[in-house]
Amino acid sequence: MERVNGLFHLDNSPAFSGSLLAFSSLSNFVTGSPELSAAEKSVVRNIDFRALVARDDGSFRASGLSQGATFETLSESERARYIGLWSQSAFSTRRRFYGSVRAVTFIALYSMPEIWPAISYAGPLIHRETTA
Amino acid sequence: MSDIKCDVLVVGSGAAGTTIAATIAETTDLSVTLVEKGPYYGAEFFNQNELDMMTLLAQNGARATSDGAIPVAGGECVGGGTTVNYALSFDPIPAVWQRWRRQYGLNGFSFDLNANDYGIHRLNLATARDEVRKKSNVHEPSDLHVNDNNRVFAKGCRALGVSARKFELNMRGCIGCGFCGQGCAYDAKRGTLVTYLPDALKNGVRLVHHCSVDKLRIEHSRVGPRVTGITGTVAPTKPGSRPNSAAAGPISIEASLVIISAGSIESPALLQRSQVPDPFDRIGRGLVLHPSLPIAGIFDRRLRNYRGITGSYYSDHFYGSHGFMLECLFDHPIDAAIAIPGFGPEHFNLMRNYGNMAGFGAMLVDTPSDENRVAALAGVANPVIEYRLSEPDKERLRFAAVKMVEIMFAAGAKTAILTSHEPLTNRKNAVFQSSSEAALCSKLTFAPNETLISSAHVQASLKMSENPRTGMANSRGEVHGVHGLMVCDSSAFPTSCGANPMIAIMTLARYQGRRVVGERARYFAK
Repeated sequence: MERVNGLFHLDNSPAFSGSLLAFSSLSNFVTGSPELSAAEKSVVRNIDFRALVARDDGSFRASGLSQGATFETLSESERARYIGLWSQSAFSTRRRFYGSVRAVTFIALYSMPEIWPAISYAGPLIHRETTA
Repeated sequence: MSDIKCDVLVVGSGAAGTTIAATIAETTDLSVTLVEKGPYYGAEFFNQNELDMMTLLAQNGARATSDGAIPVAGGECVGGGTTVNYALSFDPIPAVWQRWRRQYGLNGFSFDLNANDYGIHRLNLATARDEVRKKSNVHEPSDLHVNDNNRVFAKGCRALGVSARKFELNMRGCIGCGFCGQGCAYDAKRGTLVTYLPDALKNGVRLVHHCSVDKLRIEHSRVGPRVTGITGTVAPTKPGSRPNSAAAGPISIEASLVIISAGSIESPALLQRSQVPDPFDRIGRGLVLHPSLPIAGIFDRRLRNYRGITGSYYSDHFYGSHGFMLECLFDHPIDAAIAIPGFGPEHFNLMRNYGNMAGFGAMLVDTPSDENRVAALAGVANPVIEYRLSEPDKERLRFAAVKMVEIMFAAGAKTAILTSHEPLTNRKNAVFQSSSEAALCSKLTFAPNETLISSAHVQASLKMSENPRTGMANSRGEVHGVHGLMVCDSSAFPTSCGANPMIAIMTLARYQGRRVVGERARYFAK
């Protein structure tokens, strides 16, 4: 994870840590409509935000998760259900956050030589010190 | 503060910049400086570690469209894209250039080997192309070098009557390690790092790497604005890079002719940051990026997939009717894991089959739109890439997805996987168990950040057009209304060049370099 952070400086990213906070409390998923950046606003037009909030609200209710909970208190299967809500949220920004966390996780995980045998990957042919 | 004075300054050392710098230096005594934002890594640095080598990419591989939906890969190191691509080599397509001549009034760019464009002996695209091909050793790989992944792709295509053929590749003495995308550790891939760059250095071109160009220097005079050089910053040399020719710190370079070859994202951003006059709001507009949709398949046997030449087969079967190509490529585990949908145990159960996987993708020649653009926004560190898929392009990608699933099963796959979190089947995510489910792909909505579309071929953000209302530069690549400033890279293409662009970009650069030499009195007093 250290090497991944060396590349992407997640420690110093207010956007990333802010999103992590929003992610942690399940209440935010229902009530908070994610803020779009100026750049996104100029691309995304004519969006009915109320309809999007209603859609996320509906899928949250159907999931049976409790609104007052935090991610840390969820069981493993509840966590999976909750992450699934993010992956199929009505909001592109939420799906984006899911995609980013997922990418960072996989970059860290699948860069570990320890995991390569489990997926039949032999890695580099040459052996040089890693650089990061 | 480093100060350099030269005749020609080239910004960007990728397919275009290195080629045009070498071409000008080859036959003249003009002093040429080539600057590159990234480090100067060579074969001794490339360690075939997927994570480490992400440092070769713009923003360490995290560059994406502003909505985060489409990663936009690009090389940010000496050699640029040619250092990190898969060596896929497509000649410039004559029909595309003829259309550009018709629609954008472009002059020159003859495909006749005997043509003398601009009255310059043997200046034509065909000669430039042949020189680039020879230099880069573009050729078809032999059957011996085709790995299992490419074989099953070709088999799947043929089973359905879809034509498949071999790519041409720019390599020599490839050992088939499978790490083209991480920089060739054997100098077997003939990117500009090992072709035109050594030529350029031998002929006295000065390379300054780790050099970010902040702004173009523009002087205003009676005859209009003139670019006289750049100001920038040289960063401390990163570990593993070859030594630099300029000290770290601010740098100022003066030149009679400044050639922008920084690629279709950074080139327009530099012009915008520098407030180059843009009366018709053309800078960065009409960006195309060849949106690409990958597919993976799981077979019931071990496949040689990530080793061997990564890409040796493609299909242009649907190119005429639907404007996409199918290209056979394969990812190392990090990129593969990101492409496979889902998370947790469900995801790992798919990744467990990595050794039995095959992969390829559809690369779409996208429809240009002025809404799609690159913009340098104040207070934002990186250029903002605004891009949305058009409805007709989504429709063509749906068709491509259906065909890809069919081909994957015809090739013998037991499971086919699209890089999508859209629940198309009754299973979670876009995972298919039989060819009969292929039609479900017509339900894909391509909602941003739900289906992963990728891109590596940004183009057309500083178009050439003889009409300043439809393009930033004339056929010579000279920016309209500005003296001393030329654009020469993929951003100068008026639209998509129609295929993987490396050879087309290098051909353009070879051509423009020879033209600058032939018309040197136009740019230089001496």
